Amino acid sequence: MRCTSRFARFGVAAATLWIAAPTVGQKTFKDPRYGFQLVVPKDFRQVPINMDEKWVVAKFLYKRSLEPKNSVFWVEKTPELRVIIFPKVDVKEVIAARKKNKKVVVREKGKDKVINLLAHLQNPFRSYKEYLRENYKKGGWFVKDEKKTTIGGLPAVQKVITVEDKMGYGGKGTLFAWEIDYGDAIYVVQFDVIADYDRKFKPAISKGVKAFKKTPRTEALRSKLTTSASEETKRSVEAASSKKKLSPAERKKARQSDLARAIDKAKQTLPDGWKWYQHGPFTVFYSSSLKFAKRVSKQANLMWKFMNNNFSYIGKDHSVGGILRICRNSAEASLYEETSSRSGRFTLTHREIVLCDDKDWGFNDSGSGALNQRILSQYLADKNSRLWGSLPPWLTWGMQLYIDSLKMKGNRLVSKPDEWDMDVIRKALREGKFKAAKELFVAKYDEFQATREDRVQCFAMVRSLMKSNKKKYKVVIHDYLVTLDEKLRELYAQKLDLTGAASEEAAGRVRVRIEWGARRQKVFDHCREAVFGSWNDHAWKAFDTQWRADSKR
Amino acid sequence: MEGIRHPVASGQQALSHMQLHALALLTLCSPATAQGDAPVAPSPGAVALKDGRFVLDKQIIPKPGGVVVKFKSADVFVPDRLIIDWFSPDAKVQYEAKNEKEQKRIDKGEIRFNGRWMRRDAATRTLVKLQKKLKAKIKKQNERKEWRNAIRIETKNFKFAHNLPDELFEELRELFEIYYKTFTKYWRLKTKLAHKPTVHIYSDAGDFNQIATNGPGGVLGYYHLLSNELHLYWDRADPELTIDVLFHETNHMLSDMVNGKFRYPRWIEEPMAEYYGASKWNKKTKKMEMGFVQAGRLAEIQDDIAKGKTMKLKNLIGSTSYQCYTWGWSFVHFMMETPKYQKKWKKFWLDIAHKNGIKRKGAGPFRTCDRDLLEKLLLKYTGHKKLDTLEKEWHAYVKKLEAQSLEGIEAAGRKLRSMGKYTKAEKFLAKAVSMGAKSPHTYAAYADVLYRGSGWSKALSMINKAIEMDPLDSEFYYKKGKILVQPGPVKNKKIAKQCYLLAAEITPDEWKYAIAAAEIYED
Repeated sequence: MRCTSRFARFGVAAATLWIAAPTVGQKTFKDPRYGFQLVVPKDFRQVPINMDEKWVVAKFLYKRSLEPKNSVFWVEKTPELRVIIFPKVDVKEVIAARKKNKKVVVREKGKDKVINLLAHLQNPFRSYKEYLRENYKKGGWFVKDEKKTTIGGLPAVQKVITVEDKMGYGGKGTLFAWEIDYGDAIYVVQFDVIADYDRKFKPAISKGVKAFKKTPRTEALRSKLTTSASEETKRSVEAASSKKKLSPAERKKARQSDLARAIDKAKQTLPDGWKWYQHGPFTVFYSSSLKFAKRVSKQANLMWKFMNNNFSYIGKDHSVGGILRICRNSAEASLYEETSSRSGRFTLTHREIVLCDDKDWGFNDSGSGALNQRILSQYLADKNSRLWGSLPPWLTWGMQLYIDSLKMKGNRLVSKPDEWDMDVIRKALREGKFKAAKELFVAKYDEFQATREDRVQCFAMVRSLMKSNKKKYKVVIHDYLVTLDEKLRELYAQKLDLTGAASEEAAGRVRVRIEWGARRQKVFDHCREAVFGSWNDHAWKAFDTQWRADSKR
Repeated sequence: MEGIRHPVASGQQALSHMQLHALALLTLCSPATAQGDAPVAPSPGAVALKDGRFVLDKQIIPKPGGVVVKFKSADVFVPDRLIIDWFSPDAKVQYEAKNEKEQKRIDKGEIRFNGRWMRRDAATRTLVKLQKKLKAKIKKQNERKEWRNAIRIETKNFKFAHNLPDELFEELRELFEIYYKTFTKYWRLKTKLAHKPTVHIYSDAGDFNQIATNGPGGVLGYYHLLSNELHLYWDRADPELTIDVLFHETNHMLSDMVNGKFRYPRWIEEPMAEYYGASKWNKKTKKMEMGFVQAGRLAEIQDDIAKGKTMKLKNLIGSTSYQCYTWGWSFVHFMMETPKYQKKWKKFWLDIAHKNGIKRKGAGPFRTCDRDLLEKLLLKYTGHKKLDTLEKEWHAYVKKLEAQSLEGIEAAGRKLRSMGKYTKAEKFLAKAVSMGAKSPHTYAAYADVLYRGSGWSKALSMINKAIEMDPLDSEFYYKKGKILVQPGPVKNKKIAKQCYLLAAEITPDEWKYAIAAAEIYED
């Protein structure tokens, strides 16, 4: 069962407000949903909260990253302020609820829905300390100082937490935290900064936190409990229980519904400084420049077109597009992507691709490849997830690097290997280190070491096959995938017989894995025979000559 | 008889650890039995255990040989051997007259207290003072759990930071100093570090993972070469393992202290640390003894052999794999414990780090030797022309090794269980139990193995034994609960529920106990 908090925020209007600055540059941040306000120091801007996050309700990032003083290692970190909420709950309540088998009726989409309270109380964080233990992995930490205080008339505990990466480079950080007793929950305001700068920020942060006020809460913490399962999962489960199978059109509808829900949520919780537009099947949310966002969304659409043109045959299902969230820098992207543990994952962000305008390395360095990969994965997962998860080693590595290499040139995508891969190709060709193609086509998972040369060779071979104008080569990947899909369907229709599959020592999952590996290898052997069976030594030699020649271009 | 209703700690060990309250002949009167007092609600007391655990805010009742802790779900008797201090605000001075003469003195308002007769009010005042001292001591120990209140001290060779009970730390401090002496004397080396290394000892795995690591990840301790800091924790569940880790990690620290910029390659560094890790510490003689078998490692090697995965010496040399801890340990053990090779290995170990004329290369800020050079030197120093002949002797030696001590067999059984080798673990654990295993965790591990094999009746008796040895380990009650919900003669859901609730009371942070209890309620 997935973990959920007892206060869900899905479907709740964001309605966070910035109001007139109390002093120059400072802003009062108001969050009527959770009923609080505080003053955010100047040069901090709000970052959207990950759509699957359950605990953190507000995040703010300083305008630039800072480096520790006198460090021999290169590190940087952007100071960050966040508000986290922990609803009060104790074991007795869990037991009592379970004892009574207490049900909660919630109203969802105009219908009453009964939810077992226990499903939602199973595993909440019971304290900030517990939260830190699970979530703060940036180094060892301990509470250096702790004192009772009052914030906005509410009892609170102020903590100074020392963070030190003792196992690593020894970098030190400081967390200033205020645990405010809100009544039915503990609200924690936490500021995270490199230790060298904690004094600089402390006065402004303290002042801002002291301005914390409890305001009327528009959404009671316990009033709305939702399940975290996606519409697609729910409908699939419902269909399975009634021994039916969803049609591709029904699955498409469910996916569209999930995506619409995520887009709706993203729009509602969009902070200041963020805008959005629709481009083809993608909804684009951006805090970067519009020019950069347009460049990214154009490539996304070209990639989408590429997938439809080249792989639409692999399944009858439909892919429905997604969300592009384009952050102004990597710090913002990392902070957005980070979710607290026990939040549950990938429900609303399932179809979201997070990218940033990386001014240090440029979009083409890794952002472009990451964008292509995510679109490919999502497209294939929708169309035929089983097939994508069952490719042989040569196709897995080759396709991954090939998709990575697709760069935008005008209004089309062209394969342009990065310089690192080209260096390996040139060197391997010069030194004769590449293997014969046949050797890699027959490589088994257990034996395939995936050296850099091997991976790059797989890429060069796949690239040659994808680009080739010769019919013989052009059909290879198509025929291979179609045959593989057919054989996989047969394989999944069978029941796995484990007798005699593995040694007596191997048990349970190990036996299944061994047996599954053996069956899969048979399928690969069959595909190879079906696609390459007619290739004689001469044909293999010709292909080796072809892909080597293509890899120089 | 002194201590009338409930004499306090008995036995030498209990007296030495309970000096404060052993002086006072106190007893706790329940509201109904307190002489001449109006009934009052019992007040919460506290118990501090030797291994650093506490029971706070529970009613404590002294009993012969220990105390009873009143939990809501059950009363738990805690024997003196586990306790450092305890106090109960409800304790009263009492004395039962042995003869008429004594009765007359009592009638006059006197009482025998701390071995002498005094006025009852004076005895009460003394008791209050003692109680105050004990309460303060337990409070102080509990506060120390916060790392900001950790004790920092400097000795001749080390700096220490710890949040352990003083008594426990003192024992470990002594061990560190003796280890240093033994090591430097054996290798005839002196420290080359510009400053003393700092040893951090945390009171439990939770503190260690939180303060010294980037989160739980199977690390038991480590020595950081750049900061010269050693970090480890006291594992109350397995003190033998703690000592093993201490000997192992401290070996890295000592090696760093005496070898300057030289770094042994992993296939020598880790096996040496493992060799020292198996050392025994004799509290009475204050001596450490080396050369014992790493029973857990040996069990892994034997498992490899059974699968036909015997390690080649040429593969061990230069290896950085996990097998450095298993096969590597056995090779060093072979070298260090075979009279024919002992001196040769010692010279090899010293020369590669210190002798002039041996080629060393840079490894970051440090220096080390090439694999091929080490292979040549090993052959030269051991007088072999080929690795095969040395390997043959080594493999023959390994086949003869067996876990010698009871602790070793216990450790091997627990190790095999944690590796999921239940059939083999059962053999070791059964043997350990038949030899009178000393660790409650061995009984619990055996219970777990039996439970998996549906041997529930025997599993129940084993977990009961573990609880008898350590009645404040919540995990034992949880396991007992798990056994008691199984079908057959052991099934007793009522007691299972009580076990789960008690576990939840002892360790409220652990959700699974409450959930397990709730599941029984739901049934």
